[in-house]
Amino acid sequence: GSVNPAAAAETPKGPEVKALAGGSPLHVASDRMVVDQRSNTIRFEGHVVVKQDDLVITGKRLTVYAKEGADLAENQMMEEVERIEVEGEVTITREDKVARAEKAVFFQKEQKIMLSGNPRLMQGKNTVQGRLITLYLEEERSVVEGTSDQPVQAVLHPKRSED
Amino acid sequence: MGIRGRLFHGLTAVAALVLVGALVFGFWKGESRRSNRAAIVQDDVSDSEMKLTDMEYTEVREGRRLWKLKASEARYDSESQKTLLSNVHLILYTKEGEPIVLESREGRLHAGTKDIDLWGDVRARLARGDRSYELVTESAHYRHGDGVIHSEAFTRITGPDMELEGNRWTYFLAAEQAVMEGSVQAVFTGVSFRRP
Repeated sequence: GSVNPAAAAETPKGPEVKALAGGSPLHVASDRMVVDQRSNTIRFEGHVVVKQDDLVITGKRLTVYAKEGADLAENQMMEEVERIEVEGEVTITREDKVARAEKAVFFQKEQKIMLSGNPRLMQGKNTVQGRLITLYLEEERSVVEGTSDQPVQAVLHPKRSED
Repeated sequence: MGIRGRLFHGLTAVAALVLVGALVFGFWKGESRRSNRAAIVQDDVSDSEMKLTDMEYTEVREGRRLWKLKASEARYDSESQKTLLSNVHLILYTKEGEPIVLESREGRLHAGTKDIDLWGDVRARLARGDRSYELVTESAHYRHGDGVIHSEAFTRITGPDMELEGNRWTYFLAAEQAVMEGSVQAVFTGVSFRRP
């Protein structure tokens, strides 16, 4: 079914996003890593775990796609990345917040992440899911899109006054 | 709902992985050294053996330079058809002629297959822009037939902004593809991918 924009729910502005401080080291573990200079890609395969401070990302495969003709070693790394894909039972966890999807793609230029394959955002008992969830980093905004056969669904537990 | 905001950069942390590229794309290239030195023959060795010093040998195929091997000493044993090498300096050339430099304390050249074994503090150093990276392992094997360098030994690669290690590694010269396997661990520092 095609994506039904009308069903897209624009979630309210989230709290200030703490940019990934350049200070903390980022750890990546996997069974295997493949660098392909021809296709300008780097792939981590098998039990991929990315950790930085209290953030953990897991998945089966992670692939970094560099821009055509990019020389990742010469220039500022980030400018040379076109996108990063994490696939296979993707989980992103920080504190009590979890995002799950079959696939998560980070687009450097647009500064957005697209979660597909039964994407779901959870915090405590609150959940929102749809067919496609797009997180816009700079605007700190996310859009959940659904279709007739996979509508947007949100379960929100309002805070009681004594909470 | 805080989940959206706080998790945003969660996934974006993945972008930090690009630093791998600094190592990887550059990793397999190096600085070529051009020197032509005569091999001096000394014969104070056993009958089946011949000793050379300052040995230098270049392998060319169809006019293209494949690799250049240098050693401070080479002992050729005609019975085993192998040459034992000391202080080895091996430059492998990619299809585009880019040099990949490997050095080790000892090595062995197989006369028949032209395979090369390297062991003892095997190192590859590489400068990319203002950054330099170093690979360290205990042994490596170059398969001449299909142009592959492989090591079954633990390998660590370090650079100003990253460290990478794994139990085995392989580089396919023709395909220009590098593989690290077995408990691969990478640590990147100075990573921030939010646009300034």
